[in-house]
Amino acid sequence: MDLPDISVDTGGGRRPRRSSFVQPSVIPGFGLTFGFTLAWLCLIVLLPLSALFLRATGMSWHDFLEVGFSTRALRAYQLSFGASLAAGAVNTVSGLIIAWVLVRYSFPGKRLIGALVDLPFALPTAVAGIALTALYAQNGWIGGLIAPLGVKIAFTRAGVVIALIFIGLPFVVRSVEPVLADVGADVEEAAATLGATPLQTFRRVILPAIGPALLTGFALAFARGVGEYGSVIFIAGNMPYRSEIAPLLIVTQLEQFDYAGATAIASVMLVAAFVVLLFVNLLQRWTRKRGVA
Amino acid sequence: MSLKLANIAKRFGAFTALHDINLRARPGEFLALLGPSGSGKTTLLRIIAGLEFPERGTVYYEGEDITQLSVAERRIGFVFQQYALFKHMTVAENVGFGLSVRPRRERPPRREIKARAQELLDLVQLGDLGRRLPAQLSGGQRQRVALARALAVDPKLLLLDEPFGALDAKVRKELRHWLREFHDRVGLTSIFVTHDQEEALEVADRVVVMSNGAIEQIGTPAEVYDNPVNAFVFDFVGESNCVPVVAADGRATFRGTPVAVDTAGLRGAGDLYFRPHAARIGSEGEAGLPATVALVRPREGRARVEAEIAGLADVIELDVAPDTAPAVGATVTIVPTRARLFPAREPDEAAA
Amino acid sequence: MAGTLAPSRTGRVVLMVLAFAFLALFIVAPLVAVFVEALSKGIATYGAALVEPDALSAIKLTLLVAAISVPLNVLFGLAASWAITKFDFPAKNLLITLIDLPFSVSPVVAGLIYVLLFGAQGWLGPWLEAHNVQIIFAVPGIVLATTFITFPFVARELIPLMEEQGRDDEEAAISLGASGWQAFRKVTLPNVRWALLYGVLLCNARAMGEFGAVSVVSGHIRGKTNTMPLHVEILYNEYNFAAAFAVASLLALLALATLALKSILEWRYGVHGKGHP
Repeated sequence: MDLPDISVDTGGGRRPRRSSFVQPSVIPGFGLTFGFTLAWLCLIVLLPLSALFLRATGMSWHDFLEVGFSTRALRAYQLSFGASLAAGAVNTVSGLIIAWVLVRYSFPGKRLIGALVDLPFALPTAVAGIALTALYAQNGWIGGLIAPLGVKIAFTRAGVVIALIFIGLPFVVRSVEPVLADVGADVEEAAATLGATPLQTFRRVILPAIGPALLTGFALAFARGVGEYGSVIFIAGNMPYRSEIAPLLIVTQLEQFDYAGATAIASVMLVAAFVVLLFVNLLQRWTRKRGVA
Repeated sequence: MSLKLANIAKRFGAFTALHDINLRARPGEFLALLGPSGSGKTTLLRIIAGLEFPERGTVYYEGEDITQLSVAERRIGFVFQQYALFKHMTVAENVGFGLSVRPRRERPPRREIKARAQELLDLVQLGDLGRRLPAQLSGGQRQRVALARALAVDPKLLLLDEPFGALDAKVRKELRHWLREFHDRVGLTSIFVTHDQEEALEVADRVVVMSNGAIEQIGTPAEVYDNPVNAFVFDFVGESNCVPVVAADGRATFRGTPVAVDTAGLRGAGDLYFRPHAARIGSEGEAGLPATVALVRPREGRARVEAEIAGLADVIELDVAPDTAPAVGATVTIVPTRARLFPAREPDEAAA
Repeated sequence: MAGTLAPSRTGRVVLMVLAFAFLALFIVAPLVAVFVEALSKGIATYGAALVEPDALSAIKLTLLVAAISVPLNVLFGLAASWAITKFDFPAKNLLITLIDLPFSVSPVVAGLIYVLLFGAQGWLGPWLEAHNVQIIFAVPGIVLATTFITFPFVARELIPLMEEQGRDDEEAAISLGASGWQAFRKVTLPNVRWALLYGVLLCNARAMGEFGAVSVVSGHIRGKTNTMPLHVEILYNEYNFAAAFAVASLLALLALATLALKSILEWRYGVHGKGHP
């Protein structure tokens, strides 16, 4: 090559070098958009959340345990977590069935039903709460039907589970649906040609494929259930030690100006929520990795 | 209209994408950057365009340092691999985009933009399709729209990233010829990136062969094909056979049998390279490479013979006249008629 | 065909009956109940419950709050997705996780954190009081809590889509001489408009329907700091069921309209929404 030896000036005077934080790009606007994103995130989310934790760390360990883990609080956690587990379990089964029907079968009105599954996402929780209460109260359509059997749902812990089933259903359906569609009927047919029975096909081919999605849906529904307030307080009896959920306990203590109690319980719930979030993130990362491999 | 790159280097984190690239494009030339994926060819093209910034080095245009200039200031036309047509705009709006985003003072009136777009669409022979949306075009048509759009800003240099990559085989061949003719008609200095050696040899005036972020060879298609400077270029450009040999005292031998090749002073382990058409089946008792014929199939008027040499993993391919093709299973002697000897590559290098 | 799961007719019927029964019980029945209860005392009572001054003021406040927090979150969503998808920088995944964070926070906790910050007992409480600024038990608190709850909606619709679309279009526009703003307005925005609308839709539905977080910060001052969901609660607790359900039916209609528009965006424009939390 007939190039003269050119000394290259690598010093200043080059194109405006952004910090080494971001890869240089011809697309402008990083500073503005990133700065705004970070500022807004800190202002609305991170600062207020850290205020809660700072408040909690301001309490002595002894005080924190006393209010954060009082018998009443423990009972409330028990109900919130227990009912969320139960509702999540119900939704895992029914959500799988609904997703299966929506993905594998065609029938008139399928789109309408598919859209209706998302109702719990769109319906304000207070509306869901009073509607479910009206249904399951002893003079309600469903409550009236089962009252003669001696079963009471509204104003009991069972009511909490009912409300959380409503709230959590779409999480499972929407998590499983795309994966189920991805598995495809051809994989089932392949298993069949290899001599698998329907049960074997389901257990050894379908379930492992949709397992992570099912678990993700369950975890999301569970997390939502633990924090849920609006739809539950109407149908639960809200009796301390019996049918009082943890978020309600926070509200009650706030109304009594017991900020320390509210802070402690909120911190416990927040940590639990982060653990679930971490779990879901790890699960999704693991699934993605497996999908690539 | 000359472009010159001096000592261009680029890293992505720990990965060196380009080391010390020096290159000059002559006015009106059609240049191909050829290399396997990861060789740095697209990065180099984007640096020329001003879409990517080099760590070191300078881009000169007509003697002027344009390294600091933004992509818009450089006045280049860039055709993206997937075309990057704006889906919501009609074909004509796509072509006129570059003119319509000019500052108000410099922006031509609407009618003029329309006329210019139409003119360019006529140039790429899509004059009737101005009102369609990109989604309503075939792959080849989209590519020509992308080309027209790039030309609308009167670029001084045309850059194309894998211009045929997103097309199916038949369209690709047609478009190759079309693009070459088009280039000759427009006369713009153009550089395109490809991983397909056939494409590079057929379209370009000169080919820049790249691997691992460095230029291996620059030359006309004939030069890089007939006189590759190293084993990589020999192997990457065109079909090739490779046989390990030992060189000593100006002679090369394969398991004791001498092979005719210029050793160019090389001593020790070497790799003998020859093309399928540059070898013949030797006559009885002639010195050559002993092999067993595994497969014979017709190929464009010739017969392609695949033969195995005991102990070598790769089969040897050669082209012979159909009537002289040996029978499958026959033991033959292969005599390279035109071969090149290169120092043996390190195993990991050979794999790359 | 012994092994395939689909062709068994009985199995298919059983699964469909189970699915429909579950949906009828848990989705359709509550929805129907809202409208039946709302009209149980006749259309006149229904109408009266909606035009009564407290109801009107609740509707107005709900619209106002949505009109402030939704545009703020749109602005944030556009900025965040531009920064995240058009540039490479470290800890990007952490940033995305942090943006999604409000989804895993209980609404009640979301309200509480603002009380702890701005309330009379909060850190900034005394200062705010001294300067005569009221945030908690006032409209600003409701807007803040709603913004927190709906924070990720727009961003999470845009980020995956813009990631998938890559940077070629913007680079092409810029190489043709467009400014960053022109590239955004003429190329990026049209590319993401349906997903943006989808995000706005969901964000708006949640903003108007939020109960828990708003309930904590509002103070339930009738005619002043009551949103529609809070008004429903008050009426319900006063055993004014017909009126409660009447206001609730408006919110249910909003939900149905949201679902309808959302489905149209999915079917007609192929938006693959990430949907709700």
